[in-house]
Amino acid sequence: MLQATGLGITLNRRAILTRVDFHAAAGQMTCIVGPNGSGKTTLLRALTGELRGTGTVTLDGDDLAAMTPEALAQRRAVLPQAMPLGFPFTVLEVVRLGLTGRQALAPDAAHLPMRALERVGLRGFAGRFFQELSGGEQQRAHLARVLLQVWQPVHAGQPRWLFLDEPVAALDIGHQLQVMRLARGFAGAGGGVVAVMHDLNLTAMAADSVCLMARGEVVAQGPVSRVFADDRLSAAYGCPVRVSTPPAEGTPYILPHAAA
Amino acid sequence: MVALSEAPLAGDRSVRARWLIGVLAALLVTMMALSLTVGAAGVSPLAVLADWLAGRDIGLRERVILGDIRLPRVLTGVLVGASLAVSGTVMQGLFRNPLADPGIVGVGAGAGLGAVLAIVLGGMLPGAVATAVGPHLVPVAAFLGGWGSTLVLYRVATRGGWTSVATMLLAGIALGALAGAVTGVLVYLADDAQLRDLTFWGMGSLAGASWLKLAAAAPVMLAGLITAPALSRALNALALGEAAALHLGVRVQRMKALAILSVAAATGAAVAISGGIGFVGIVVPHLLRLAMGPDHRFLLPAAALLGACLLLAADMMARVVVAPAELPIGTVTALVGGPVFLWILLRKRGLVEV
Repeated sequence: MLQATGLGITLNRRAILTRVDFHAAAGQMTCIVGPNGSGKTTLLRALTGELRGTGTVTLDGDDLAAMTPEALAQRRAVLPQAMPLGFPFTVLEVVRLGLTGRQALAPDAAHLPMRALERVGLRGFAGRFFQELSGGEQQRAHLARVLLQVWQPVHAGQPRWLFLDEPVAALDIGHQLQVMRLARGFAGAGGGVVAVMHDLNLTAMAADSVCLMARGEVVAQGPVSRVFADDRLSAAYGCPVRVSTPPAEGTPYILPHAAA
Repeated sequence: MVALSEAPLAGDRSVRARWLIGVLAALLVTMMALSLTVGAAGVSPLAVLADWLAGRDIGLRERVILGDIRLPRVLTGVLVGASLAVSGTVMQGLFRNPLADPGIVGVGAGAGLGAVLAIVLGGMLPGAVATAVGPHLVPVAAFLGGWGSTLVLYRVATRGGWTSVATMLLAGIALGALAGAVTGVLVYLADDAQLRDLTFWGMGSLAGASWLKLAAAAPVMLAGLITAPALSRALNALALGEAAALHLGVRVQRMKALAILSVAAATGAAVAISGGIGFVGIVVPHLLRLAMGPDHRFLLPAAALLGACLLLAADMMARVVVAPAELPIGTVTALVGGPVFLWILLRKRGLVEV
C-alpha cells in the first residue's frame, strides 16, 4: 500500500501541490491523469521520494522520509521522463545499471540484463550505442533497466513498486500496448504500479484505479468507471469530452467532441 | 550455464576493459624501469642491481643519482600522472561531459593560486602553525584553492543537476583569469628567493622532485586517488541524470561533495608538486572511453595507469630531446594534448552548443 496524506510541494516558492491525498494498492495499476501543469509529475516525484514537502508518504507502512536512497532503491524503481545520456554507453551497459544492491551479487546477475532487454523486445540491440537508438527505443531500453531493478524480487513474492512517468510518450501504438502489458504483468505478480499517463483511452484499458488531477489537486480517485465521467473530465481538461462504453467491451473510450 | 569459453555478451565491454587494465599495468612497470635508466648521467640501474645482488658496494654517485634523483622523480611522475588523469575522469563524470578537465575549467588555476599564496605569504603564518603544517603547506593550500574553485564552478555551471557546457567553460575562463591576476599581484609582492621558487614551480616540471616534496604531496594525492574508485558506481548512475541516480540508490549530494573533494585533492597536490601540466586529464579518459567504454569501475583504474604511463613518457621525452638540458614537461603534454582536445571538439561539436 502506498499512501500519501496532506502532501504539499512547493517548487521555486510556487505551491505545486496543496494537501493532496493519494493511495495505491499493491497488485494494481494506478494511473495519474490530468491536464498539463496539473501536478501529475510533481506528485509522482513526491511519491518516489525524490521531492520532499509537507505531509507524509508511506510505502508499505514505512515513512518515505526516513528511508535512505539505498533502502528505497530496493523497494521501488522509477522511469523518469527522458534525460540525455552523459557518455557513450552501450544499451547493455545502460540496462545493467538497473542491477542494484543484492541483485548485482546473484550468481545469474550477468544474464539478467539480457533477459530484461528481451522483455521489451530489444535483445538484438544490446551491443548498439544507446545514443544511436531512436527516442522510442531509448524509452524501452530505460524501461528494461527499471524493470530489471524490481522484476525478479516481485516474482519472488517480495513487495516492490514501479513508478512510470509518461511511459508511452514516445512510443507507437504497438509498443504502447507492449509497455502496458509489461506494467500489468508486474501488477499481476503482486507489485504496485503508479503511472502518469496522458492517453485516457490507454488508461481506461489498463488502469485498476485512476487519479484525476487539476490545478495541483486531486479531483477524484477510484475505479475508471467512476472517475471517467463526461462532466468531470470536461471540467478538468477545460474542453468538452464524451465518455462512451460499448456494452460488448466494457472498456470506456474517451473522445473530445467539438462544441455542438 | 556459465562456461569459461562463453563469448562475452553483446555490448559488454568489461572483459576487454580487464585485459586493457592488465596490459596498462605491465606497461607502467616497463615505463618505470625505462625511466630509471634514462638520464644525463650514464648510470645503469641494471649494473647497480647486479652489484647489489652480488653484495658489492654501490658507489655514492650511483646511490645519489638513482636513489635520490631518479627514483623520487619516477614515483612523483607516476603519482602526478595518475592524479591528473583520475581527477579529469571524476570531474567529467560529475559534470557528465568529456570536456570537463580540471586544467581547462580553472580548477588547476585555483590550485595554482593556492600554491602561490602559500609560497609568497607562507612566511607570514604564525610560527606554531608553520611548524605544524611544515612541508605540507604548499600542497594543502593548492588543495584548498582547487576545492574552492571547483565549488564555485559547480555552483555557477550546474542547475538542478544539469550542467551548461558553455557556462562551465566560460566560468573556467573567468576563474582562470581571476586566479592569474591574483597570482600576478603576488608575484609582484614576492621577494627574490620566493620569485626563484615561483619560477621553478610554474614551469611545470618533475625536475625538482625530491623525497621531501614527494612525502609532502603524496598523502594528499593518494587521498584523492583512493576516494575515486568508491565513486565509480555512483558516477555511472549519474550519467543517467541526477534523478535517475537517486532512484538507483545513489546518495547524490554526498557523492557530489566527495567527487569535488577527490578532484581538488588529486589536482591540488599534483599542481603543487609539479606546476601546471595540462591535458593529461582530458586525453587519457577520452582515449580510454574509446577503447573500453565509459564504465567508471574500469575507467578509473585504467586512467590512473595510463596517466602515469603518459606522464613518464612525456618526462622521458622532456629529458632526452634537448639533453643535457630539459624541456618543461608541460610543453610536451600540451604538444600531444592540444591536438587531441581539438580532435574531440571536431568529433563532438554538438557538446559545446548544449
